[in-house]
Amino acid sequence: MGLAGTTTALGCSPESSRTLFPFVSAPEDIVPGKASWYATTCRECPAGCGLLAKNRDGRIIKVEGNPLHPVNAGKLCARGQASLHGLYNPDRFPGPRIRNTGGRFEAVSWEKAEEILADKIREVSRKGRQARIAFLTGLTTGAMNDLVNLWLAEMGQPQGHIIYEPFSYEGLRKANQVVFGIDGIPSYRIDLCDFLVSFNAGFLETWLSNVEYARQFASFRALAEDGKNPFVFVGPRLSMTAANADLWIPVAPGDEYLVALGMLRVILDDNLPSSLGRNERAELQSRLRRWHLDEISRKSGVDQGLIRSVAHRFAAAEKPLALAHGLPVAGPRAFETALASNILCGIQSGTGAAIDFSSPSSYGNAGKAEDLKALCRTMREGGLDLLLIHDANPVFSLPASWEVRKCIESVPMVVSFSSTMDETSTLAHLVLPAHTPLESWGDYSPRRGITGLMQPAMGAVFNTRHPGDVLISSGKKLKGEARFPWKDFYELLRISFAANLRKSVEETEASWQEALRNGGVWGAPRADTHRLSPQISKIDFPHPDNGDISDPGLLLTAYPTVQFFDGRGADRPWLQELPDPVTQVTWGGWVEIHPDTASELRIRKGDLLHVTSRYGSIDAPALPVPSVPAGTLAVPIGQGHTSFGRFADGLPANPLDLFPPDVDSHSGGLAHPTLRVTIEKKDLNLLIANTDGSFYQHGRELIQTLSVADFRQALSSGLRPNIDVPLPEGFDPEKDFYPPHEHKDYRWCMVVDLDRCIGCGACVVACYAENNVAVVGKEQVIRGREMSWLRVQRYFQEDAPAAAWLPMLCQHCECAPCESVCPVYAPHHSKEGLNNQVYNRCFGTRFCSQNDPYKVRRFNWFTFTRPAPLDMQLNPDVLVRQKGVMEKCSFCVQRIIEAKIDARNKGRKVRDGDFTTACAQTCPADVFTFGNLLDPESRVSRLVGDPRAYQVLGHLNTKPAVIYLKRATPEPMTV
Amino acid sequence: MTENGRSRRKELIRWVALFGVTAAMLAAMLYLFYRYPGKGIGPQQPIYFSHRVHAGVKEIDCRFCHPFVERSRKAGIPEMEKCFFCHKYVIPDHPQIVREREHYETRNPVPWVRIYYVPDFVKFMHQPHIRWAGLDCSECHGPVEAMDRLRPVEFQMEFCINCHRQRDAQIDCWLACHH
Repeated sequence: MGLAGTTTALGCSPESSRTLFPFVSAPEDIVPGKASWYATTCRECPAGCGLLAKNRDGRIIKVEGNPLHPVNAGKLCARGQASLHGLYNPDRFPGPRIRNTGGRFEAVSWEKAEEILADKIREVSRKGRQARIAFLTGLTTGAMNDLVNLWLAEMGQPQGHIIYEPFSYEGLRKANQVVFGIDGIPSYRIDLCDFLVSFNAGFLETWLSNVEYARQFASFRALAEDGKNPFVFVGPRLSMTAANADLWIPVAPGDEYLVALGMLRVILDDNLPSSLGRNERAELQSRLRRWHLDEISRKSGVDQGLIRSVAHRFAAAEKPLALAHGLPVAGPRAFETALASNILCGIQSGTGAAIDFSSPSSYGNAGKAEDLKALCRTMREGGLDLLLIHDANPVFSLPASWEVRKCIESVPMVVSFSSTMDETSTLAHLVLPAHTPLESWGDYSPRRGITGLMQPAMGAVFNTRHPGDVLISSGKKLKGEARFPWKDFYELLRISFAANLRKSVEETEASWQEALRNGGVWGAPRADTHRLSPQISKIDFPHPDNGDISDPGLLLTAYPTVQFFDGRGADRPWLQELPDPVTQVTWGGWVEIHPDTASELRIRKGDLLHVTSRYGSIDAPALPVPSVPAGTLAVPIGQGHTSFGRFADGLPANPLDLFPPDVDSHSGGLAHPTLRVTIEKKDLNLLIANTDGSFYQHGRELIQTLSVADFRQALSSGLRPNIDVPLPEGFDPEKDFYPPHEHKDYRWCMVVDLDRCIGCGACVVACYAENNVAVVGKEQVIRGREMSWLRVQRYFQEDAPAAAWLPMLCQHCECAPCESVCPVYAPHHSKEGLNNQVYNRCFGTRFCSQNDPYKVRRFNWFTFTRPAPLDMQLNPDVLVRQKGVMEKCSFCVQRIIEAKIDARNKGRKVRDGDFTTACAQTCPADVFTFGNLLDPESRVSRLVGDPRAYQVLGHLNTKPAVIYLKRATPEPMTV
Repeated sequence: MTENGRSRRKELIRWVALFGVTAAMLAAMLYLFYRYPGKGIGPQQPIYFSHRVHAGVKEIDCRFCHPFVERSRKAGIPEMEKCFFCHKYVIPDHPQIVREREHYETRNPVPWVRIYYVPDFVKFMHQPHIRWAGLDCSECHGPVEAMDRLRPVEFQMEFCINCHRQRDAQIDCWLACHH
C-alpha cells in the first residue's frame, strides 16, 4: 500500500499510463463496446462467399459468413476465417515503396510514387510503345475489372488485362466446351443428386467453391432411415474429400480417366439405363471401341467388378452426378477425365438438374496457363516496357521451370499493387500497396446472377490505397478529368451499380443501401431442370500416354490443401497452425509416402528427401502415412515460399518445382504428364510438427460407428441411447460419489454429429479468432504445446484405407475430473453447467490437465504474443491469457453472456437458436448444435435422445455435456 | 574529564540532530503522503474539466455525456464536438475552452487520463448495473457532482462481491466477470 502510494505521489501511477481518447465527432451508429457488423465479400479465393465483418470499437475482430448469401449461407471455411490475418499481417507493406539503386525497397510518398508511375507511362507513350504495357490481375469482375480495362485502353493498350488465376480449371472448361458446347464452368448442385462420384475433385477442400459444396454435400449425405446417398471417390490420394466417401478407389495419378471410361464401357456393355438414343449410343460405342474393361482394369489396377458395381449404381440412380477435378495442376489428364465424366453426366437424364450452365462461374473469365506462357515469352523477348501486377503471384504459383522470375526481371519497369511482400512483388520496381478486401470498396460476382458487394469494414491499417483510386488519380493526371471524371473508386462503383439497374445514381440510393446491407444482389436460385445434350459426335477418347515408362521411380501427386489454396494462405499464422486434415501436420510441407514403401526404402518420418523429377527437384521431409497407396508420393501445394513474410518463408516445399515448362495443347492449362520422381534420402532428419499422437484409435472407440441397418432398427424400436445426461437425473448414488449440481434456467450442451464432420478445420480457426487462442509456432507444436481449444482429430481405420474425424473440445462434464483436483478451485462448475476456468485464480499446477481424460486443457508455457498489428484482432470480450495459466474451451461464454443480455433486454429468456458458438456458427456441414438442455424443446434436448448419441469415454462417468452422434458406416458397394 | 564530557555532549547533540532530521523527514513524508494540498483529489487532466461544475452546479445528467451507459458495456466518453454544443455559447473565450477548441479544430483528441478502471481479467459491463440493478452512478463512482477532479475508486473484488451478494446478483466467476 505504502509503495503504491509513493508511486502515486511521484506520478508514475498506473493511472497516468491509461489514457482515454474521445472521438472528435461521433460516428453514426457506433456504440462503444458494441459490435457493428458490415456485410462484405470474402476474396480469399474466387468462390466469393458473403462475409459479415464484426467491427468492435473501430477494429474488425471476427468475420463470419453472411447468412443471406446464396453461396455460403452463413458458413465460412478456415481460409475465410483467416482473412483477418491478411488484414493484420505484420509483413504487409506499410506504405508505397520504390526500389533504390542498391536494389532495396525504400519508402516513398504516395504523391511521389504516383508521379513515378505517371512519368513511366508518359515515357512509354512518348516512344509510342503503349502496346508494350501489360496488366496482370487476379480474378476480378465488375467495376474494378471495367476500370482496369478502361485505364489500359486510355493508356493506349486496348487488349485489356490478363486475368491470372493459378487454379483456372482449363481441363474442365475445355471438356465442357467439347461435350456441352460451353466454354465455362457451371454451378453444380450436389444436394440435388442421389449418387456422387468424384474423379479427384476435392470439392470439400478447394474445388471451385468449397464452402458451398461442403454445405450441399452435408445435405446430400444427410442420414435418413434408408441410409445416406452414396459417394465414391476415385483419386491418387486419400484426401479430405476422399475420406468422406463411402469408397475410395485408389488409382495412379491420372488414372481416374480410365475408371471413368470403364464406367462408360460398363453402361454400354451391360445396357444400363441412359438417355442415349439409338444413334448416339452407337456413336458412343464406336468412340469407345478401343477401350476394353479388362484392359482398363489391368492398366488402372482397379478391380473390374468394382468398376462394374460403381457403374451399375451410377446408372441405377435417379440423379447421379460425376465431378472431375479438371485442374491441370492437380493431376495428369485433367481434360480427358473431365471429358469422360461429362459424358457420364450427359447420358443420365436426371443429372441435368444438378448441372446449371445458366449461371456460369466467373472462373471461366480467367486466363489460361497458355496466356501466361505467351506473356512470359513476350517478357523474355523484351517485348514489355511496363508490367503492372495486382493480386497475382505467378512467380510462386507457376512451375519453377517456367522461369517466371527471369521473365519478370527482364521487364524494365514492374509495378506491384500487392498489399504484402510476396515472391512477385519482390521483383517490383515500384510498390503501390493495395487495401486488403476488408478495407476496400468493390464488387465481385462469383457467378452470373450473384454480385457480392465489398465495403470497408474498418479504416486502413497501413498507409495503403485502393488500386482503383490509384488508377483513377493517375488517369486524371495523364488523360485529364474528362476521361476519368470520378472522384474515387467508390463513385465509380456507385455509378456502375446504378448502370447495372439502368437507372441514375440518385434513383438507386435505396436499392444501393439495401444491397450494401444484404452484402450484394442476387436473384432466387433456378428451380427448373434442363436436359444436358452431350455432343458425342465430336468426342474422341484419346489413349493416354503412359508417362515416360522409361522413367524409373515413384509416382508423384501434388494437391491443393484446404488451408493454403494455391499458396496464398501460407502467410496466415492461423492456417499454418491449423493441422492438415489428413496428415495433422502444422507449419510446413511434407512428402507423403506409404508406410510400407517407406520401410522398404528405410525412410523414417522426418528424413529429408531430395525429390527429383525430369524438370526439377525439391527437398522436403518424409511423412509415412497411409493416405497414399504404395508407390505414390503426395506433396501439398502452397508451402515453399521464399519471400512471403515471416510465417511462410523457409517452410518446405513447393511441388510445382517438379513440373514441366510446357502447356497442354488440348486445354491450354499447365502440362502435367505423369510425374515420376526419384528420391534420395539426405543425411538430415527434420522434426515434423504433427499434432496427432497416433494414426489409430487403438480400440478405444472414441469415434463410434453404427451400420445403417442398426440405425434403422434402433429408430423403429424406439431405443434410447445409453447416455449419462449432464443433469441431476444423470446421477446415481450407486456410482456417484459427489452430489448432483443444481442448474438455474440453463444447462448448456453441445451435440456433435460425427456423420456430418468433413474434417475441414473451419471450426478450429473460428475458435482461434473468437477466443484469442495463441499461435505458438512450429517449435512449440513439436513440443506438444499448441493452444487450440478445439481440435479435429483424424483417425485412420486400421483395416481399411479410410479416415474419420472427431472434433474434440472441453466436454464441460457434469462430473469433471479436472474440477476435483485443483488446489485453488480455478476450474469449477457454474450454475449453467459450464466448466469454468478462472484464469486469474489459476496458478499453474497443471493437475487439472493431468486428470483430464480428454486432454483438451492447454497450458500457457509462455506469454505468447502477437506481432503488431495482429494484436488488433484480439477479441476484447475475452481475456488474453498469460504465462503459467491453464485455459480451455469456454463454450464461448462471452456469447452466452451477450445472448442473455439481449434476451433480457427483450424481456424473456434465451431461446433455442438465439445464438451459437463460434465453431457451430462457421461449420459448413452443420456438425455442431449448441443449446440449452433444460429446455425440452431445444434441438440439443431432442438430439440427445437420438439412437446414435454417445459420450466419448462415457464409461469414465464424467457425464460430458458434449454429446456425439455416431458415424454411420458405409454400405458395401455391390451391384 | 572535561575532555571526556565535551565529547559525550557532542555525541548526544549528533544523535539528537540525527533524530530530529529523521523525524522531520518522516513528518514531511507523512504530510506529503496524506495531507499535501490536492492529495486525493484525483489526477490532473490535460484540460481542467470540472465534474463539480457540470454535474453538480449545472446539474447536467450523466447520460448527456455518457450516453451508452444503459445500452452497452461502456458508458462512453463525450466526443469533442459535444463540448461545443454548449461552449460555442457558454464561456467560449475561457482559456481552457480555447485549448479544447484547438484540439477540436486540429482534430486532435484530448488525451484524458483514465480514472476508473478494472484489471483486464474483469469484464465489467455498465448496462446490467444501470438498467437492471438500477444503481446510481455515484454508488460506484462516488459523489462525482462534488468533485472538480475525480478521485479514483479502488475497485477490488470485495467492492464488487459484497454488493453482488447483498443484491443476490450473479456471482458465477465466468458468467459474471472473469472470462
